[in-house]
Amino acid sequence: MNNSRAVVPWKELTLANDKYLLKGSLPENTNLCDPSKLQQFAVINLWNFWMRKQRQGGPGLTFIHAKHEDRRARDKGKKRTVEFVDPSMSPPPTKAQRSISPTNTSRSPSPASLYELIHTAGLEERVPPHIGQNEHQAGPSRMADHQPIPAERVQSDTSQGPSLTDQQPPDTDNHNHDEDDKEADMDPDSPKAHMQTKKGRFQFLKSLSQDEIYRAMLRSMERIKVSNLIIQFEELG
Amino acid sequence: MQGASNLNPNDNIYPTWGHWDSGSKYLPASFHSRDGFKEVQKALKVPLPEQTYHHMERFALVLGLALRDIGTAVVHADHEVVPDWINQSPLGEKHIQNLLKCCPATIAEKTAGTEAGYVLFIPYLHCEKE
Repeated sequence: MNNSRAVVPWKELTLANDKYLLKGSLPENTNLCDPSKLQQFAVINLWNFWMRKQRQGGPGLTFIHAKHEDRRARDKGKKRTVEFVDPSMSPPPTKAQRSISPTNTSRSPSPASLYELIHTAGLEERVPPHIGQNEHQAGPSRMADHQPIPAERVQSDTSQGPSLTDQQPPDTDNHNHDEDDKEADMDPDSPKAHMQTKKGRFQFLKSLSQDEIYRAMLRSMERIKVSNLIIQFEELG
Repeated sequence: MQGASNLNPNDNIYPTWGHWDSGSKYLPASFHSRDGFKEVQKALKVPLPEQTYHHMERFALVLGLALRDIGTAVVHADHEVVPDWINQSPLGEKHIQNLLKCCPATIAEKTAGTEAGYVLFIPYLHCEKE
């Protein structure tokens, strides 16, 4: 359930990132502060960093501390646990969702301020699925259901879902660091993200322009096999 | 991956961003200038070195990427974060129309016996000068 009254203590968090955030949740030499104070390049930098971590299988941003009054108990009368904040979970999950996902047994509020961080950057449709999950919870993301994923990533993405405790901390995994960096640098709307198959490339080409002349050229290409062509350029009126 | 060398032949015809290995959504600032645009337009005028599907596909890629980037410069959603050089791009609708004039009107599959009947007009004859 959401606790709409929970507020991210931005001032305190800004002064003590390490207290609230798991080590490695932020790029080096970066301090997370009030989203209203962030500049565009900083938002993009954070976004790319969290996306890279998610592709490595971990959550993007992990909160390890919360204000006492914002903490919620898993079970009344039992030991209180620190909950996480997940901006991608702004609407409360349905009963069905909670029952389906064993990792969703205790959702905590979505802080509006952190959501604004994403919203301000215009990235609300691509919120990192695991942002805000704590070290005990890393489950499938609802956002992933409606986020376009390049075909080449689908296989690896669908295999994700183990808890973070089962995973290597992203910052200590140096085996494929260069490859991960390259992948993180690759935009899902880039040619490289679609170059694997002819069909993928063609779909990408079709997405580039809605102009009828360009589309007509593509339709001509679509009808032919990967073989020699006759290309005829004619004077256009 | 299907024939990477075929997808990105080392022909140096197109700008460095005009290949399938490009991992960026937006074209570099060098494109968003009059000189950059002229370079692309010039590249699109060059007849394909080989009349193969992959060459045509790459032609369509370069053309499409240029169209998309200029289109983004002309109009984009308020929430879309675009690089400053696109926001400040001097390219506009006129440049889109110039690029579209580089599109071949007909692409047909070559069949036996048609080699002698190639009709390949050079596209730059139909591209307007800047």
